[in-house]
Amino acid sequence: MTYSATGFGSQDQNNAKVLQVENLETHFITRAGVLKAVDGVSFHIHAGETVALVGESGCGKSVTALSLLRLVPNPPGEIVGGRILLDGDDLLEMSQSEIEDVRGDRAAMIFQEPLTALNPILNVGNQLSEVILRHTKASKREARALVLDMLKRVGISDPESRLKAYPHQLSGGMRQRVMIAMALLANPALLIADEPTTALDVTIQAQILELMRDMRDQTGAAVLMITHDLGVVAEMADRVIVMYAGRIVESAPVRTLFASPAHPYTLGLMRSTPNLTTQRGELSAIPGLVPTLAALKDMEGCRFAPRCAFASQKCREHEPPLENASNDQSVRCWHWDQVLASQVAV
Amino acid sequence: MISYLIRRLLGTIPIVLIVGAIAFFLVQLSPGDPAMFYVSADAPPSEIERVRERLGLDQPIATRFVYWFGQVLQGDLGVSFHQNRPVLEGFLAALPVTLWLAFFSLVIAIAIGIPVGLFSALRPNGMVDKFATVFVFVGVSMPNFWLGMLLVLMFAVTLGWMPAQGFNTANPWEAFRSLVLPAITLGYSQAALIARMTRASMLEVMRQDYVQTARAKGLRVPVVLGKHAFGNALNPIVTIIGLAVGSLAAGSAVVEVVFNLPGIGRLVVDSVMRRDYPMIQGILLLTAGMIIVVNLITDLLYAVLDPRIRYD
Repeated sequence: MTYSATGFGSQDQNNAKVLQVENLETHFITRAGVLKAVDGVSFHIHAGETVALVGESGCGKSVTALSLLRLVPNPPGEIVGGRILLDGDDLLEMSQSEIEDVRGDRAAMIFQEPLTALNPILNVGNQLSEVILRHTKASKREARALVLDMLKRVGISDPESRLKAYPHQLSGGMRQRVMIAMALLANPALLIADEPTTALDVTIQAQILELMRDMRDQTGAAVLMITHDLGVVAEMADRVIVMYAGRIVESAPVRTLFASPAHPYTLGLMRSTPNLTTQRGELSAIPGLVPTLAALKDMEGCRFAPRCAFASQKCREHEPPLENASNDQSVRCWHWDQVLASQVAV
Repeated sequence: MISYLIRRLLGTIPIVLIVGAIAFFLVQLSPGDPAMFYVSADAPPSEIERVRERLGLDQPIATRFVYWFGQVLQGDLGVSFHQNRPVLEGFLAALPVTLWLAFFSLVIAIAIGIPVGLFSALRPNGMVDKFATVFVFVGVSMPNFWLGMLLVLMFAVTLGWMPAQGFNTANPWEAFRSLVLPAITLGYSQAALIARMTRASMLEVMRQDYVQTARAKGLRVPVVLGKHAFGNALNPIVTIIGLAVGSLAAGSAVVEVVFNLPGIGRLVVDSVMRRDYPMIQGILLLTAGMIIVVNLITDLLYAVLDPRIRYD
């Protein structure tokens, strides 16, 4: 695979699909029964492209991310169906040893809370060089040089002395830079970032997002960004996938999604996010809560129907398929035309 | 670190003083007259009185305490009633046997406890874990002396592989053989406790984010478990091993009597039987001192194992 030197472009469909997920199903097998945390999710990401996976807590976005590298804790979690193709290789078909070779090398992950995601008793240099020593034949000395170089690239000053530092001796932003360095060391084709800025101060968030954008452009990696923050989505993403209760409910390029959300849930998410153009007091919350996975078992019809202003009898009886609202926008709603029309009316 | 160490060592002084006072009064206030052990059954009262005077027991208890404590502070633990030699000498003569016994017991406890705990944590409620649960349950429930007798019955009486009792000092190998069954007896219950703590601690640590990070890096399972998980699980395990040393000191009294080993444990039991006040007091004080040192070492180990803990 070749990457263009300048990096990415959302419309650059000539790039090969780095990641292709087809009908992914991840279930949790519990005493209460089988909980379908990820239920038939399909999407793809091109090289250099950033796809944001958004939704409320518990919608299955983090489980989707973990499933990609087969990191869902088992038991109780189990990937029961689907295909995950990384540059054409099905990760679900791989042996334990083969998937371990992929992790951290061809596909890497950045986690939400860098303080807990870094090992408290090992120094930064040890935790970083480990990745190189595991995935390449480099000597310790070479690994150290690569680590130093990467620390410089992610904007850590005085990297020499940071090598000996322990995670608790670094600031939050610094720790997340270390996490990013760790993920990029092996030059992965796919970078999965699970809420990488949620645990950080706002000022640091902006720096980290900028760093991630730079790194994506430099490496040409495909990025899957898990977030519930629409600000981050607007900032980072080329395309957006909205998940609700284990299902994809809408997928569209970022501009389309923000301009004309076709699913009532997406519309609700937009309206519950404050921005400068909203009048004070206009902010509206989506009524109700995400249904628990246990409640979903007996549910027929659309999973969002109980909270939806557009819901009809049909919605409560039959679940809508994911259909194309336009060329590049797909939506899982019987009444998406009404949803779009309602926005014009306003 | 150095200043912490000095502060901790200074802090042990009041502990030793309190332990000394408790040791003295517990022993002296217990019923029974030591003098009766050192005269014939039909000795006249004047004879008994003479012995009491010789042992210093004719003085009021407060006077005896001040005198004893004054001597202790000068490093003199007094003279054993029974052995007729300085307490320290008697203690040091018995110490090696107990130290070897404690050492082998601890080796057994750690060498069995940690692997059992690790493997049962790998698959909770799996086959290994179920066997380990039984192992732990039996270990913490079974009294030492009973296990000791069972082992003697099996390996000494029936199979004849090991000596039934006594400490054979003919050569190091025989001495070692003398300690095998006692060490297993003493180590088993500690192994059970260490196994239980290792399992709990590993299960806790394996849920942590950094273990997921380690897996996400593609590290092999043994590296994830050994380097990333176990290292973080060590602190509570070290705590329980530190406590085990104290339990070994207590347990050795029972085991040394069962196996007739000439160590500190049996010395203290014999001394109690003979109302050898200076000896009992001395042993209590010295044993307490050793346990205080072990606790200090445990606390220092925490800082070695976890860079977040610094005692400055």
